[in-house]
Amino acid sequence: MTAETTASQAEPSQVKDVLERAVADPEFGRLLLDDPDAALAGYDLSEVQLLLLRSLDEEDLAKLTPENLEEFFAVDSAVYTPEDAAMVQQGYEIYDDEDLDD
Amino acid sequence: MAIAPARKPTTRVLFLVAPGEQPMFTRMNLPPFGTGIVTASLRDSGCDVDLHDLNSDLWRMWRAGEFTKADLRPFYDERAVLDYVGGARNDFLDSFADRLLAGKDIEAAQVVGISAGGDFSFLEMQSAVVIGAHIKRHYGKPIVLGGNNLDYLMQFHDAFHSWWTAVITHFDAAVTGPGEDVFVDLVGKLARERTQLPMARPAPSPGVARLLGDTVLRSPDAAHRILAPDFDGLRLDDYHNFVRDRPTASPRKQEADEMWNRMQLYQFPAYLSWLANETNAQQAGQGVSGKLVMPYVFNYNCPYNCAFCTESLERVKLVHATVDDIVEDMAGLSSKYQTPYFYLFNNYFNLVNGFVEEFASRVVLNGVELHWSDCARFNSLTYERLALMAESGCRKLTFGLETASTKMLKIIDKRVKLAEAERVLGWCKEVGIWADLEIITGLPHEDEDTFAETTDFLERNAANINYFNVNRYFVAPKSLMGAKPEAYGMTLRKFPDAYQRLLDANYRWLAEDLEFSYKPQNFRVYEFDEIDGRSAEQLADVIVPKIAKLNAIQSTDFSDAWRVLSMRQDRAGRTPARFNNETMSMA
Repeated sequence: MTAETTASQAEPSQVKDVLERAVADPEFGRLLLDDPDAALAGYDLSEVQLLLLRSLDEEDLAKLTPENLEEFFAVDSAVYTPEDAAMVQQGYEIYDDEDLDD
Repeated sequence: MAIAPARKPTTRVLFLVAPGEQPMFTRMNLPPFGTGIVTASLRDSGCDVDLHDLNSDLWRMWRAGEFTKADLRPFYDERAVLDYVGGARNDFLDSFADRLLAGKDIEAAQVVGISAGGDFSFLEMQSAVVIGAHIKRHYGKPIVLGGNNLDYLMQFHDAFHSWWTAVITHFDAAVTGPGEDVFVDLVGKLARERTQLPMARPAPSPGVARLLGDTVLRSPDAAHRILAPDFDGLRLDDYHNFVRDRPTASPRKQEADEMWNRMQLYQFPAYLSWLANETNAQQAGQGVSGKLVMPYVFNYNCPYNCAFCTESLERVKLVHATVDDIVEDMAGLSSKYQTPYFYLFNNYFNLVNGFVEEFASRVVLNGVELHWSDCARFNSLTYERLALMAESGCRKLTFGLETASTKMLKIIDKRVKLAEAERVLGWCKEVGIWADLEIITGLPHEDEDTFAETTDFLERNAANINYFNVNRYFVAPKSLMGAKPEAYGMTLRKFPDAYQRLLDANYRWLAEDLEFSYKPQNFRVYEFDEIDGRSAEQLADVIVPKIAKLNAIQSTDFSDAWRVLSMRQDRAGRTPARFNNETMSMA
């Protein structure tokens, strides 16, 4: 893995898979709400991912569409980018040599 | 005729916490610890303390739409603020202070204490002096400033010389270092006689800053004392962490709720914990209720001399409470504020031999239900000790690893053995304690090979590491590296206008409405060139890919959590930078 790639690029999110399925397959969505353990049995999820998915309610699933899932799970939504770093540092990146105190 | 016993006159103190930026980004989640300690000490001494956190007032004003972030520009203007402190007219600052202070009984106070906060926030530092100046101007009360931010400002006193000059000239005292006894002493003296202000006295008072000619001087610090904080008088609901709470649900559901709460309060890094709190707050009353998390400290002053740390330059005697007092304090706070949740901010938990066993057995024997997190060092931790800590409620430990390069560890005198660190991380996982690490990148002469040793370590132990805070190295003047930069291969660069540059960076972050965790690196007051190495500019260029590489190793659990919680709040956007800037007090 290089510095430019991210873990999210390397390993697609299982959480996203589950949510996409819940949107596409209402029966699975129902099962996820009623019996999350059964719905998630075939997935290899971490403890955090399990808790997150078990915490969803009907209102949460109703908000989901294929489009907004793409937006929430877009790769660059989880990447610390050089642009961000520059923005954070800009207080000090802009200076002239004569400002410097030897 | 019965004669009423003479009442000892009490001193009435109005104690205020100056507001910072947090309420404009996210809910507050922790009552102000330092203020709670000084309040406890003042009340113990018989003072009548009227305590207010002006963050609560700012939060209400913000939520009522009374101002925008951009409106606060004058607070980020060095000249505007210091001129106002010096007596100049500034209608915006004066009226904003007046609105923050609405409803406070200023007239009744004999002395006003103002905490300039401890979050390294420029709004806290600037608003503290504006509020002080407003009270002085309109009510003529003596003003004592304090708060951990003054320690930061004093370390970089050459950069903040104008701020210090204004404060020492126009206020009655500014306390650096531990304030629990210094405030009591100052309040007593200021209430009795005001003929000679502490800062004007020729002999230094411990912990009180002063001017000698044009030079800002730090007096020797007072000693710390271990006290349970006293938050009575604050609007405690404002610090609630909204957690799941369904007392009538099935035991299985209650167990699931408890697991969620532990994840939210301990496993999640701060930015996620805040987001989860915001998300849950929207469901308050529907299986969700507000709980306080108590901050508490029972040891101060570190026996190690990690060269980057502010405690490395001077050896200060260890202060540590007895196990009996600690358990009594924690049980008392738990009962008084109705919460089992604690964040401990000790130097590190396992500082004293035998303490872990005694503490754990006392907590278990007393039947006190506690959940807590703290810092720790790898050395002296065994599987058995960790198991005892877990049994006594330990949910998370944060270890200062800093680097996994043996060469760099030696240079910074960290005294960490990597094999031992790996063993302890494995044991933490086994006993059910989340292990976080502090990592520093950008140390002078950190090259590709030494950096790779750190990333290799993090990748190798990823299964046992919950989260690691990425800190970019900054020069702390009160550290060995800051005091002797050449010995560590650095030449320092100082900026004549650092104060206003930092204010500008902070204002841009605020006005552009960036994520809270994008807060500028306020510690980076100095830059450095490597001797026989890279310039500051070249170092700035290489730091970005290093941070990206470190973030790529971080567990994807947290980005998933960010996405799901954001989804629940209908807020799309990038996850925060996951870039912790605060390396000042690491163990």
